Amino acid sequence: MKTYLDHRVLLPWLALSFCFCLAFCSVPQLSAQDKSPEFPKGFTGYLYLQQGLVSNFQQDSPRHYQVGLSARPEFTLVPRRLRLGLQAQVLNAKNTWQYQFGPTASLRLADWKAGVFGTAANVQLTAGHLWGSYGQRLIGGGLQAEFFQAVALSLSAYRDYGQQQWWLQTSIGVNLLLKKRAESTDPFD
Amino acid sequence: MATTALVISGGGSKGAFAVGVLKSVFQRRPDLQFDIVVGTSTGALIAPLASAENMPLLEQLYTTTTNEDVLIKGNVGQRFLTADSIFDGSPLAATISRYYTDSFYENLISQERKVCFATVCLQTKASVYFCSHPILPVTDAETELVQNADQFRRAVAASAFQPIFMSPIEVVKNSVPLRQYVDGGVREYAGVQLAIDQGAEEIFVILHSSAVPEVVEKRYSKMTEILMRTLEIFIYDVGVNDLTVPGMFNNALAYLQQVRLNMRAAGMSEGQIDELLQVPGSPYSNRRKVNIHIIRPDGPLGGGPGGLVFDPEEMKGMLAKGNSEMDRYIAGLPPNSGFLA
Repeated sequence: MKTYLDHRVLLPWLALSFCFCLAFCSVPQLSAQDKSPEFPKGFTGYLYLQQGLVSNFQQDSPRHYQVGLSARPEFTLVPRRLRLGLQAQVLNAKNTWQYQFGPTASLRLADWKAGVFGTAANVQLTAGHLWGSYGQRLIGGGLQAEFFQAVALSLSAYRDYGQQQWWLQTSIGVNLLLKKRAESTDPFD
Repeated sequence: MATTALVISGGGSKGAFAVGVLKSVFQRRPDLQFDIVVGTSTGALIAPLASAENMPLLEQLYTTTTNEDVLIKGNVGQRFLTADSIFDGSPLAATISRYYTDSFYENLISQERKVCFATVCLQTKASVYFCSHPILPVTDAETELVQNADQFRRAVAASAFQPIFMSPIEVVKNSVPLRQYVDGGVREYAGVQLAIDQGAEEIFVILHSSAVPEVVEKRYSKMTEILMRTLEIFIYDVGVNDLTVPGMFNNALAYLQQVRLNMRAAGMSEGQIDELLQVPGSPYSNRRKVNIHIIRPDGPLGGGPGGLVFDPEEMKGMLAKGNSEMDRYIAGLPPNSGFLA
């Protein structure tokens, strides 16, 4: 069971880590820009499907699978740079349903440019503090790639400093607050 | 009937070349007045100011404008999902409103000089020319008279807004039936035919592409690069077609004139010749050969794909090229050439 969990959780986590490293190191278009269209004014509202593991990674200590849903509304406090918000997640870990809640922040690190057309994605550093229904106090963060301002892939690591546990997660999210297609976009209006 | 026409093609930032050409023209012939000015895309942006002979403002605009003054870039995927164009063209619309004011429009229509903008209607696929004054029918195109300053500004924008890249424009806001217009360059690179149909005898055409297609020795492996290259090929082909038909028309008229001379030399009377050559429905009846002056760069101008890159330094170079190209053209004219000489 432990090996099965390790593969199911660690492989996606490592794969995403590899992708982020590759993006940072090998894509020349990936650069911070002053007039980026990423992190526009307004709200985002991501709903994530996430999975991961919970462990203190001590020898012979159990590694528990976690899976759940997470909602993360954020407001762009500093356009093109910083979003602040809240995160609420419902998850099953250690065969128990539980919830966690707390503030979050996202700092835009770089953009993935799409030639002369603009951008395709951005990479951001995320951070947060969560309180859990079983007395957890988690602090941590991770990296998130946001594509089309509509879909996000993220990996995160949180430390439960009360119960001395690590929570590792990979997530895929959809922005439910993506603005709807306008019927008319008159540039003179 | 118009006798002298100025036709300015599309090309985004490459319009700086046209401004350089016009600067040279008006320096040499300050008294020169075009009876009709036809603009497509960036040519439509230039046409009203060229008609007003406001060269200092044109030069300023085409040497200082940056991408941020023209369009707002966004996230491509987000625009694809939620908008009707890759870019937001509101900065260009604001620039049009800033310079093409109500009083500018009133001044424009108070003059006899006609100004037309080439557009294409998305609903009907028709080439539509929006004009400041009533004009004669145009072959294979519709004409619309601009009714007020708002429609004038919208017509300029419609001609300048490249579809996919920028939003289609309702020239008549909330019209029934709905009509959205885009860059006339989709069908006509330069409105030469309109000038011919208005009876122009001297047509001054400024093109922004070289006569020799630019050869790019590279492998195209990215979809965006292939898309942009395809657009360049498409625009080049539209430009070739625009000039081929008037050229063939001119050649046919020259041929008929030679036939007429040969018949006269063979002893036929003018009456007999007219009887033989004036066939009912002939497109050549009552037409004279048109003198078309084509000014175009001798190589690529830059400005990125579709002229979508507005780099002031590069545009200054384009303007200088236009100036020198015009000087070279004038130097090559025969001594008895009335126009521009």
